[in-house]
Amino acid sequence: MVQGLIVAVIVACAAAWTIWHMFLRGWLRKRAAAKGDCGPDCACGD
Amino acid sequence: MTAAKVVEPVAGAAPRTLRVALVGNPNSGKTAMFNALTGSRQKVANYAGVTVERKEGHLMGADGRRISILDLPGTYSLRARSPDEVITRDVVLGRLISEPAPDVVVLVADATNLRLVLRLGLEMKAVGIPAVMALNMIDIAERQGLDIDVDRLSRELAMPIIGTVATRRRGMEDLVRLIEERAASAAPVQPSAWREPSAVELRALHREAERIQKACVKPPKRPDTFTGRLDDVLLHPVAGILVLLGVLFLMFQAVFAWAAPLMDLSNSGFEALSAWVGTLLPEGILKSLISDGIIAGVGSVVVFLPQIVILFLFIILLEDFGYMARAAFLLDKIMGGAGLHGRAFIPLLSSFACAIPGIMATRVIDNKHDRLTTILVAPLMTCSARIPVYTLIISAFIPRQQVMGFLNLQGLVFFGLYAAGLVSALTVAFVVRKIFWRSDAEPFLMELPAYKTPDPLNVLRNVLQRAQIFLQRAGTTILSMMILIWFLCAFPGAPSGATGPAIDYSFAGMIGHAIEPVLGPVGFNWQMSVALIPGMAAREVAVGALGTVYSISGDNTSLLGASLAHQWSLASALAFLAWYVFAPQCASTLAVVKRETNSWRWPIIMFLYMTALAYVAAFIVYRIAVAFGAG
Repeated sequence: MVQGLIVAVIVACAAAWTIWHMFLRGWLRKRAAAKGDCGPDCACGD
Repeated sequence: MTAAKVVEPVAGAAPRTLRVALVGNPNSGKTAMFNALTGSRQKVANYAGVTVERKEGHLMGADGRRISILDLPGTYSLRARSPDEVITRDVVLGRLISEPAPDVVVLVADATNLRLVLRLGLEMKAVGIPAVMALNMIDIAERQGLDIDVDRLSRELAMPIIGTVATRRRGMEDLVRLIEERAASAAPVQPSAWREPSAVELRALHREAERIQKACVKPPKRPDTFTGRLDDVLLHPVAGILVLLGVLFLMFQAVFAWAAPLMDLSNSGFEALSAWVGTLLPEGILKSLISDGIIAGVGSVVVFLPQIVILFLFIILLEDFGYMARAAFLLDKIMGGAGLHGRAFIPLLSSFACAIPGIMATRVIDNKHDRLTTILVAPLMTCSARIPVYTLIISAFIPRQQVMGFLNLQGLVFFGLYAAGLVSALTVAFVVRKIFWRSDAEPFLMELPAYKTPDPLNVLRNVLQRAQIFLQRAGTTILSMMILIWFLCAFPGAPSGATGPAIDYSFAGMIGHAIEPVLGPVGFNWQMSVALIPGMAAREVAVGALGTVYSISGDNTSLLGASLAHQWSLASALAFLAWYVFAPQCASTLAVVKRETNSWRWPIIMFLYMTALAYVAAFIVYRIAVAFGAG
């Protein structure tokens, strides 16, 4: 039961991270840069 | 915040960071200067929306003020052509939304070769960019006997000038002092002051640069002949190619032979770690996830690190020595025949180790279409991840016999698979350039730098940086994907009373059965189809997957080979090999293509065309083999 819970959390994190890393992050940064919200100390892109 | 906005210092507050950008022609020593100024205080990222590398570091000025240094991509002119040059121009002119205009631009010039940088200096002078010039490699210029009238050059370009030797940190303190003085007296750049010059204006600028060079630089009384003598050999149409082949052979040997012990060590390390975890955790899904998913997944990436480090060590050493520019020049004509740019040879060579650093190395190609063509064909080069698959199938199906009395048949098939990858890469590049980007061929303009001894510290720093980037980018992506693929292979578990292997009942098994009708015509059974699924994380994982599917340990490839020889037909085995020549199943490569092109379009196109090629090749091979009675 405990093992199953830990595994479920890890797999969910991996799925969320993949979606964030491969889809959402780039899109959000691109949108921020297009709006000019990116500050001088922001390491834009990756 | 807009790019041109100037932040006024508030009374009593800490002084605003002084922003400095390094600009110059390629190979002028910008990165060496960046390293000399900032040491290890660096941050590497990308500019927003593009995959042009953004390197920023900092140092403290004499008055305690923080100075931020930006290392910009090399350019010959503000009339930018490549994405890298556009970034440089926009940063220098303060037109990039995400990057405030620099307070001072340091124009880094190769003191031994001023002609093209003078034109860039004149363009900057015309816009009124606050700049200082660093006459870098001044020691080599002095040794060559070049006499540079620095005072007159300074008046002509309207910027203070200082001699530097970045690799030895010579002149760095004076350069920083000069930057601070220039910043104190400079007015901010007006972004609208620049417009793209016409061809006539460019020619006029070029004539002006030549006039300044004649007036300010006296050629040596006794010219240095070392570079000339070496170039007589290294740029010779025959001898040059032979030397290049020798260098490439050495590089290949090093990548495969030198890396082997380290790769074995890495493998053993991960096996030991997996065994140790096995003793800590009870049997169950958590142990399976950590051992088979996380440790094996991370291990499958880290194992390539020695190859990456050795490859980049060679590339950086040759680049610093000044040979890479010559190699690109030599190969431009050969690669050009297939529609590839001369500089594509570095990425394609890197792709023999792994397509990921190969695709990352396409950043050296300026033209967008040249770069995309190279990215599209790089995965066709036989990467080392295909080797376990080739070795398994060849040893199981190709007899151990001699051809013509001295050639090993298995070795010949192995060589044929490598050659098939190379020929298909050149053919696809040719087709892509002829059909899609026919009229877009760009001339190959490049300044050949003088030969110089590489700086060991600089080389070490760059190699470590490449290793770090590789581990961060490939490792993180593959880790998450391996966890997800493990999940697909492990769930749902086999029902009670099941007789087949558990993977048969998993999501991966279901997918394998679902796609079996599609892959049936090329001779693949469902087990082969299942192996293609985990093979998406990394191609060699297909070997382990086949071992699992056939309920035999993946480590014992000789047993697995015997099992395959018993259960597969020769036609299916050959079709499997043909499939893997073109196999697009490497998710991390597709992810890197997405990152490098900043679009899903290109990884999708790559996946589709490689899948189509793989399918057609496997189909033809299978049908021919069946016709010859191998089915």
